Amino acid sequence: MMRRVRLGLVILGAVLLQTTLFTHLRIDGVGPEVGLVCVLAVAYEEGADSGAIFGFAMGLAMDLFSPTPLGLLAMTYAITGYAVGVFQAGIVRSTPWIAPILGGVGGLFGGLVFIFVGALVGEQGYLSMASFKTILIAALFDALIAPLVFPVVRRAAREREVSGLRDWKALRAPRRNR
Amino acid sequence: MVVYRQDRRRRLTLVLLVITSLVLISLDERGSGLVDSARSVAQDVISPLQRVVDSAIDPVADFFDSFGRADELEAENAQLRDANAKLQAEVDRGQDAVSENDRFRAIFDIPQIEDYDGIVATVETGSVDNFHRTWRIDKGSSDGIAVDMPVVIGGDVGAALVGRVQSVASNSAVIQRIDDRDFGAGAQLVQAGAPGPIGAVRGVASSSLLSFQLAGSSGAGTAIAKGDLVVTSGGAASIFPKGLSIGRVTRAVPATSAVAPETKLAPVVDLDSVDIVKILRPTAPTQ
Repeated sequence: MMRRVRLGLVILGAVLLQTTLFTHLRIDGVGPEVGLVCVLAVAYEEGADSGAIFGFAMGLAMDLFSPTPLGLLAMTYAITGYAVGVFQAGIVRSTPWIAPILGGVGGLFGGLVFIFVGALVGEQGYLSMASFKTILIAALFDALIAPLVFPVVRRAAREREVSGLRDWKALRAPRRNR
Repeated sequence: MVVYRQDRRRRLTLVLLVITSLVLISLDERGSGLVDSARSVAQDVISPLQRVVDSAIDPVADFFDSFGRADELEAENAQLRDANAKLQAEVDRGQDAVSENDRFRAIFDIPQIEDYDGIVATVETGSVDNFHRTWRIDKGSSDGIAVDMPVVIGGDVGAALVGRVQSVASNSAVIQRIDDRDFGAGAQLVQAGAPGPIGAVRGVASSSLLSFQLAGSSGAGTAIAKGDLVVTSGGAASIFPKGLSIGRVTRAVPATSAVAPETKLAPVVDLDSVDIVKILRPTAPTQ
């Protein structure tokens, strides 16, 4: 229960940062996607299932404040969370650079999913060189903020009480970094 | 077997989330009132928090707003220094203070538009996402603002169109800037002070310039000169009143037989430095 409240606060915090600070803090008119970086952190911490569900919730919250169709960011973040969750299951050894690497690569992947899904649902001009430039800058920005975002989100996503079921899950998913 | 089942469950979860997203996108694209209400309520709930955060980060935001515009600000400072020196010279020459006031009013005052009254609002923040150009303002439906109202500011060529109201909450609204990729408006070329052929203005994704294309029938054989002004064409089908300045032509197009010649416009105002806008509310019901 407390974990859900904490993750809810993470969503609220990400929405606030995205709609205030990061409307000013931009490079060439492009800002980071705080919500997407939070999703990457949860997916890395918790795996594909949690990554997809948290991604959907975060994307839906961001959709409410974005001019894009409601559901576009929800789908983008859910797919990205799922993909990063599947990817993290295959990581053999963690590295201190994992946050910026995942932030950059995940940001790029999320951006690509966004423009392809956007184009599929009829958004005009998403498949263009300008869009690719935008997602590249945004991914670099995501890599920069990821080392700040990951520790906060991982702490929020952490279960305090470890139940028997949790132990069983932990045995089945030894890759989990906690 | 257990691993297989779990993988299948994960995929099922993702498929369900994707289907739910597609349903939501479909609802929004059809203009569902439910989606608009959800957005409005969410904005109302979060706007007090946004204002607290905005005021807390104000100095940081000002710094970053000016950070990427160092060259521009330097040039602006030089221009202002020149203008200041000229003004000082004018004052020294004892020119009539009234005429000077009139000149400044023409530049800075937000104008009155016939059949519209105005609601002045402050721009609080810029674009939330990376693919659209919007502002959030501090006035909303409780102040009389509604979707599709034109947004203007004063310019050196009268009232200048800067956007339209895209969505509204009780105490805030989102403005779609004229340089947003999805923006479009009926427009008219003004040549030698006289109304010229009509066309359409659209935002361009990769640029802060606007695209202007003359309508096929009226535009054939028209030469477009650099610096020509383009204004809104108005009309019953348009949400914008006639005669609002939009931009000036940046690239000349020679008179050819080409159907629907196209060029680029620079907005008549610097959209990145707008902080106060006027929302035009029709005083008579629209037809």
